[in-house]
Amino acid sequence: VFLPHSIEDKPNRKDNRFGAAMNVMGISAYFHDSACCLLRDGVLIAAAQEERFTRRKHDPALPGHAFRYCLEQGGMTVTEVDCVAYYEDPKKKLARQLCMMTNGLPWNSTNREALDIHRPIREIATVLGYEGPVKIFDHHLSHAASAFFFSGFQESAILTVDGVGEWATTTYGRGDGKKIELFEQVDFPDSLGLLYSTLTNYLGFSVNDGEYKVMGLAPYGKPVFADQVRTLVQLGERGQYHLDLRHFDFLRTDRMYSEQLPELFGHPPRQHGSELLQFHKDLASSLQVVLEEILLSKVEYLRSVVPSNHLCMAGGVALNCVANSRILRDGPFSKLFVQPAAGDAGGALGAAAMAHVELTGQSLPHGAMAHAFWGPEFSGDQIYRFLKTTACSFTDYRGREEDLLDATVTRLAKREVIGWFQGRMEFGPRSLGARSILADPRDPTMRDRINASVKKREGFRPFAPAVLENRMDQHFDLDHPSPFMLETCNVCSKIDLPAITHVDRSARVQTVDSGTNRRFSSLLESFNCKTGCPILLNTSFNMRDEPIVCTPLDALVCFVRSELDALVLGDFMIDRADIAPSWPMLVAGMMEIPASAVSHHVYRLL
Amino acid sequence: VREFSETQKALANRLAELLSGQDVVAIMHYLDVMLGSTVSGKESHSDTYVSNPAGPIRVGIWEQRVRNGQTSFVRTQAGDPWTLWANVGTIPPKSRQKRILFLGESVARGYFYDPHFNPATTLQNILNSAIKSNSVEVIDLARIDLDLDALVQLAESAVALESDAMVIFAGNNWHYKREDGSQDMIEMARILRSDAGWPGVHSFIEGRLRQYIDRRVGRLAAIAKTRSIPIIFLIPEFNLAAWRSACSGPPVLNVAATSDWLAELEEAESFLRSGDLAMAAERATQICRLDQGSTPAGFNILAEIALRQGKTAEARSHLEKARDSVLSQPMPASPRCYSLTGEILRSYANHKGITVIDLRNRFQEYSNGQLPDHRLFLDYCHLTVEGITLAMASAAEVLLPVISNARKAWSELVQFKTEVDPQIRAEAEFLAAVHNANYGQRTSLVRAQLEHAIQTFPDIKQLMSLFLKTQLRKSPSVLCAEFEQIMETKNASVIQRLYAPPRAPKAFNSVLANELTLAAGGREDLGACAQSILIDEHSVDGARVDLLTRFYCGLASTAAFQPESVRSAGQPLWSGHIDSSSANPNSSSVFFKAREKASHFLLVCNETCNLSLALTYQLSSCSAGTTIAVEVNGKEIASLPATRHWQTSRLAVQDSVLVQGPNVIRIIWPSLQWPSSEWVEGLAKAFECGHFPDIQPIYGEIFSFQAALIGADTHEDSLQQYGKVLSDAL
Repeated sequence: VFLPHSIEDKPNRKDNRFGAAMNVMGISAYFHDSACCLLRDGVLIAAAQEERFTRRKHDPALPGHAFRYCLEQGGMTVTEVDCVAYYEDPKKKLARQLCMMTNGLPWNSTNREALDIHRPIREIATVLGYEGPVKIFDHHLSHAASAFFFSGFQESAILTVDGVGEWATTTYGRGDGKKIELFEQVDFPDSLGLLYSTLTNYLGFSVNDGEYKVMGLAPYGKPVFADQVRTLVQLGERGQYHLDLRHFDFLRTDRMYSEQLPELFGHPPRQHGSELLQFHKDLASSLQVVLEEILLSKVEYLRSVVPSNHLCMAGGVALNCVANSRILRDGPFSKLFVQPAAGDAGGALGAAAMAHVELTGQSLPHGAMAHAFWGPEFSGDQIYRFLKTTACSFTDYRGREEDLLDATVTRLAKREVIGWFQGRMEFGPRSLGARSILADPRDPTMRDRINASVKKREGFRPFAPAVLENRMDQHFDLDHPSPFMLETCNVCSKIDLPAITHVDRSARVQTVDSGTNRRFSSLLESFNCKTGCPILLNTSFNMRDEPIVCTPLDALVCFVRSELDALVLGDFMIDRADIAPSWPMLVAGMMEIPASAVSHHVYRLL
Repeated sequence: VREFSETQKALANRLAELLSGQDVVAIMHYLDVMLGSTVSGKESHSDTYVSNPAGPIRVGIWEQRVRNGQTSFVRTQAGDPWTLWANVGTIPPKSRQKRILFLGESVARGYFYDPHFNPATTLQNILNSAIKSNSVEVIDLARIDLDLDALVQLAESAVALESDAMVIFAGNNWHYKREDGSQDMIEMARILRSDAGWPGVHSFIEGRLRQYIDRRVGRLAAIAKTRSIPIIFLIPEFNLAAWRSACSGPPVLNVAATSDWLAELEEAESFLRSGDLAMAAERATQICRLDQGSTPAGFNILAEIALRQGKTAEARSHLEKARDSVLSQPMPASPRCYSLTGEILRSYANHKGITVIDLRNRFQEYSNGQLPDHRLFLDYCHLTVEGITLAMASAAEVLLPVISNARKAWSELVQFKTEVDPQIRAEAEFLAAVHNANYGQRTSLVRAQLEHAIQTFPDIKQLMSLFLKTQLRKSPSVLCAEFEQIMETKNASVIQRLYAPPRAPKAFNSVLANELTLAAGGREDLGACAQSILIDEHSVDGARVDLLTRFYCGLASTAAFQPESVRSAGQPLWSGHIDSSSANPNSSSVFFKAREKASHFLLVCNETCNLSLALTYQLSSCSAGTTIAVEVNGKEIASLPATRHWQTSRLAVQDSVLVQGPNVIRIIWPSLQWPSSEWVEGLAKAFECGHFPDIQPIYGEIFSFQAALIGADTHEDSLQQYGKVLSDAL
């Protein structure tokens, strides 16, 4: 309907500025956390989530801003894109949606719009302006590819687990060179992702957002309800499992469970924002334990079919770093790779990789993804030009990196909390030293202070440590690098680290090396020199319900709205005392953050 | 949900296959209408304000509190922003005072003056002055951006305030609203495909709007009947003398008729310029015949002719038709009260308990038959102090007998002395000038308002200067050093309006910048200062400049139609004029769409040196051999082949055609062969899918447009960067 040109009139798109280079754009969109990435000859050039640009948390819109950013980063224009790869198959998804309608999913205009299977292709043309070939890959194949092709493994078993894509909610596969085979899947409505989301919903947290909180809450409880949770999932043969659907209601718009779920646990659902009782903590713990049991059982099965030492995992459930560590520790695989954007955002990456393989017949050229810094960066000159027009004073450390690091660690050692904005933005949900809030992990008051005053979020939520890679084993029970903060381990440091040690003595560690994260590594070195502690508390640079900051402006606004003590923007430092007197009122009280673009009452199954 | 059987899945797969044709959404929409009728008979709800049906009684942002048997209403944090409503914390319990409820939109809010001065307070003062007591209280329930559904909800909930009368001063925000699940879109598709075409769609929308308003006014009138609360409707008037309705392009006709329409318009403007009014009128009449009143273009010219001939009544008629012509436009038009709105409200004049005051007639009488103008209006519909006083005197004339034994004519009541500080008056005029300039209104109007503001309060020059400087900077205005000084004015109205929206991209408005520079100059060389900021923040030096950034590619708001003859004769201080042909603000496309034949871009140079431009463009339709002209400061630098697919051209700009400071790049697109029958069919299909389509023609599209110093070839940089990335990876 909306195609701008007739089909016969083929565009002459490509000019050959990059010679024979193959530029593939990957796109994930229309569900949550939409994203875009650019692969050039299989080399990842850029990747970013749309929410970072639009400032709408989990933005599901077609990622127009991220698309333009990728072109900009690639130094190219739309005519040089050879292929766009889309991360799920709308027709297969439509079949599942239609089945849900026969099951009672209400018919309304919103749902009707969601059934427009041509929307992705149409809007890639009309919104993004791209008129070339579009390749479509299954949701879980995109997940699988996003892990395997960036793992550095020549061969590997692959497990993908999420809420739902088209039909599949869990897939089992193997990767070998340029080939990925998914040989078994579990179909909707049986879904570990939906199980976790349903109990997240029952525990009074936001779906698609609060699962991480439930994981963080689990160590405060005991798994006393594990038996009841086990009744919700019946393990089947091979890779299969089945939800006891009497307890679930995926067709409602206000909750994901039936009346039987509160009956099962003997407690009413927790109201959002109400007090967290021991029951809630115990249920979170029980859920985590059962999830780990099921995943362990299924990776054992996977290993029996794919006799590899390597495992690649992807899908939203692969962001459960506690489960990841358990799989690695207690499971049959000796190596595990989880890509930093393991959720739907990463689907863009996998789709692009699949398209590259199909188009070239070649696998991707590089080894394991070494870092997550695939987003925009801002030069010192850009930051200086921005700051000098504003009503705040700042210290210019250009050409004086040691002084900048010294000033920063001096503040950190004085228990100040610092906003740290350096280089290219991270791809994925974790801040890894490019858009981070940093603090001294030795301060016993620090966790409560940052939760309450800086991030303005729930007090129970733990913080993660960033540690120099060459010193990790002195402080953490970890024998391999963990650059993406996707594993947990026990704290074994002689230094007391209360701000980053969870109640069960665990920590979600990020290891930092100078090869991929030079300035952050230098900062940790400086902090170690000054304090004898090579570890910093590292949390994402954002406030509650807000995406991680992307630009210097976002960082400055977040700095003013929070109670950070200082902001390091590239080579510049701003003290809280340096901001304009009116800013706290103008920015903190009035700067509008758009509401989250995704419903948090239920998992959006359309 | 239950497990799905394999049979179910197979059937669903087959159905998905069947629905995978291009018509899937249209089929769904038809099913929606045929089977669903999910909202059949159900009235639409407000997008702007929602009451609180589940909780305590809420009227606007005020919630009921009962203490010691006394009922008051307290402002609550939930829901709507306070800044859209009166700055009132508590509505006290009903006392022995007569209580008048005052409902309405931004006009009733006293936009530009509020909270320092507003209509509700004025009405209260006039009434108490007339009665010579303090026995009347006016409860101010006016809200900025209140739509009709919200007004009805508000009025119905406001019954809880135990009033003696209700004044409803609204009608400017009553626009066509598509009701979900209705037949409307399918019907519009049918009409569009018929001989009636877009003018037929326009008529259809007019009819539906009439029904929509009539039903809701009926509900308002029912309050008077069932609750025995006298209601006074004040029908808003429009600034016919100064405001020109936007013409966003030719209407959707067919290729031949569009070509005729454009030719007639060009000739009409030409005749108007040369003073041949008879020929201009003939052409303008042809325009109206072709588009059947669905654009303001012909009416604007006919009005201009009538005004030149001193035929005020005739001009009024044409200007009212121009005002009404935009009711079917999906693009945002400035708020306005259509003739049909007035007709419907007047039809309730004989209902029990209803009184209708038509400000059209009242303003005409007050102005001795002249068109309503800047004396009464600050912009299209928002009133001056004089206008507010006149409107409130008219309401007071009707209210006095309802609440007392007093009787006074509006002509007497309007003599009420309204005290408004000169600074507040000047600031309101300044804000209105900014508003008008951003709506693309005439330079002469903007200039007059700025000058009048300065006459009223000379120190306002400082505010104008600070405002201009913040507007020229890249950073959000609130973060600029100059905004700190604006904060020192402590004028909430000014700060709020200059502040919002704080993160919206800025657009360079050359008319406003020129006029502010001229008006607020003086001791400070504001022009030089502004130029210095422009060069410092926007010039092409070391880095590439993205000319598709909003600041460089012009205003996003709808430009007014301005025949050459009514444009200001004044020459802009700067050489540039940035027009409005930027991307449609409603369109989510990530590229630039040219909606006028020429697109203008601002290019700022620090010093004159050779530049390179990289332009990626395409046209949606073009004939072989047609070209696109690229001009810099009026000199053609390139003629590019028209192409239907993205093409990148790199152009060199010699220093000899550039000047230090702002330069203007103009891209002139080929004439359109528009709309093709396929394009019209596309519109019809969009309607069938339940979407309101974008009906404006697109002359050309630009995916990227970048300027760089020659020598700073970024593409070479990219190649090097690519090589580095690849070698690192390998």
